[in-house]
Amino acid sequence: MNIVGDLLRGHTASIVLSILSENDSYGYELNKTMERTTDGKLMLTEATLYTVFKRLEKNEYVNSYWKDGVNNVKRKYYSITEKGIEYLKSQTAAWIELEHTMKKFLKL
Amino acid sequence: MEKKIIEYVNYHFHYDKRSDLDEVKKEIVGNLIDRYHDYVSDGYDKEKAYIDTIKYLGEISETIDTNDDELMGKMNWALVAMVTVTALAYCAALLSLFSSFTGLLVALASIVLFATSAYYLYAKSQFEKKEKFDLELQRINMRTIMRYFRINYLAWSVSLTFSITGLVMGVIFLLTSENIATLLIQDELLSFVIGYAVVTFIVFVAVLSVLKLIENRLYVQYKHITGEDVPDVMLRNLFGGVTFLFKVNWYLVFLVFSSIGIMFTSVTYVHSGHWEVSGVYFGFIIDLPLLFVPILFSAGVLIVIIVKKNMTKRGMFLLNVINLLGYMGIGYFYEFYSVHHFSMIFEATVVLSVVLFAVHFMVLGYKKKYHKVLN
Repeated sequence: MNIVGDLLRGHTASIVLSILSENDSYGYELNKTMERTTDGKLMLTEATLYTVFKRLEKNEYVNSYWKDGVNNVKRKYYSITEKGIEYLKSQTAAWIELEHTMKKFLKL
Repeated sequence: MEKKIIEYVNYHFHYDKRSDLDEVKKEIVGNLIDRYHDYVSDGYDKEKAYIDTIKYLGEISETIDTNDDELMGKMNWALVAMVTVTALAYCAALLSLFSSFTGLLVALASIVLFATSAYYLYAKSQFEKKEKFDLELQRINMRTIMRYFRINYLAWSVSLTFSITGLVMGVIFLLTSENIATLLIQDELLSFVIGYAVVTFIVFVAVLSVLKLIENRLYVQYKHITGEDVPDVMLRNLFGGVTFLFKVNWYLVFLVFSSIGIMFTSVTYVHSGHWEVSGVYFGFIIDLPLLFVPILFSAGVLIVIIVKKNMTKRGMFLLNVINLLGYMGIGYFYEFYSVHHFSMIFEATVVLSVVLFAVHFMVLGYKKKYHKVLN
């Protein structure tokens, strides 16, 4: 059972926003970054990615635009908004607090 | 392969009517094609690259916040129908051993019900969940459909093989029947029957082989469409761990069993002083209308089990006792008044009853498992 992967999946939105805070990106590239960073523990399907992007767009955390790519396909790029950056900051702060609290419980 | 990926995505969105559908498909196709090319660059052969790519459309279930059973619960009648399909399919297979015509009728009813339920499961999941982009539900339904297909196909094959063989042999018999009178006079009917049995066996094997080929082809198609292996099923798993000299191959077992039955076609010299061919399969000849009576009994019990909400095991046991008595009564009546000289009708009806008893238990088991479905 991929416990780390399951735990990470609960934070997919934050992970996507943190990657987008570095550079604009598109679905497959984002997925590859996630796979590489987590040593393959977090791999999302297109269905999941779509759901995440849809939610982020609805909350105005990201914007999207189309750009030509290789392989004769158009790619939909996503960029983080100011609101998204603020949200990411709040999530980061919440994570630090959570980590601190969990360390106390787990006696780390 | 790009075209195939596009077709695959189109297939999944076949019933989807969202306003930005084209854009969604274009985005997903783009991502999948990029992934496909990466796999090919990594040295995958094209077929494997395609299969591994399409798995990424919707394999992980985090898009849904319910579990499989709850999802299944929404597909209530279709799932109940699928269980009935299985009961009918195996009844049909058993009946085929006695009467290929009756077996065929019940098998056809089973196949039609399966097709209706499968279409419903597929279409409804597409419509119901399109707003949530829930590819997982469709995947679960495809797996359910294939699981039931796999369970039932063997039983359908049995019924269809017997029926088609019976039909072909009937035609051959009609074409050659003019010679029978001559054969009777020359007392050479035995050699005729042996020849007839051999031809029957060949036709039988041919039909079964064709059905098996069709099955294999469908499994390949399933893998192409879903990117998944064909799911394991209960009846096969039951013998999956058998490690005798060889792994049990159901078709082989059935083939040997049936061919022995065919060879038992007997020629009898009756009291009135003439030869009589005493049956085609397993030496049985049964009048068709009488066999419908036990089927009605069984169908009645099945309906009660499905419809009654608080069916207990005791209640079902009582119903089955009534069912069994019905079988025995009919068997005894038929044997007693029969103009034929066979004496296994009674035993056969009891065996049939016991098998259906097991089927009823299976249905009750499914009902308990999916009690949400029925309540």
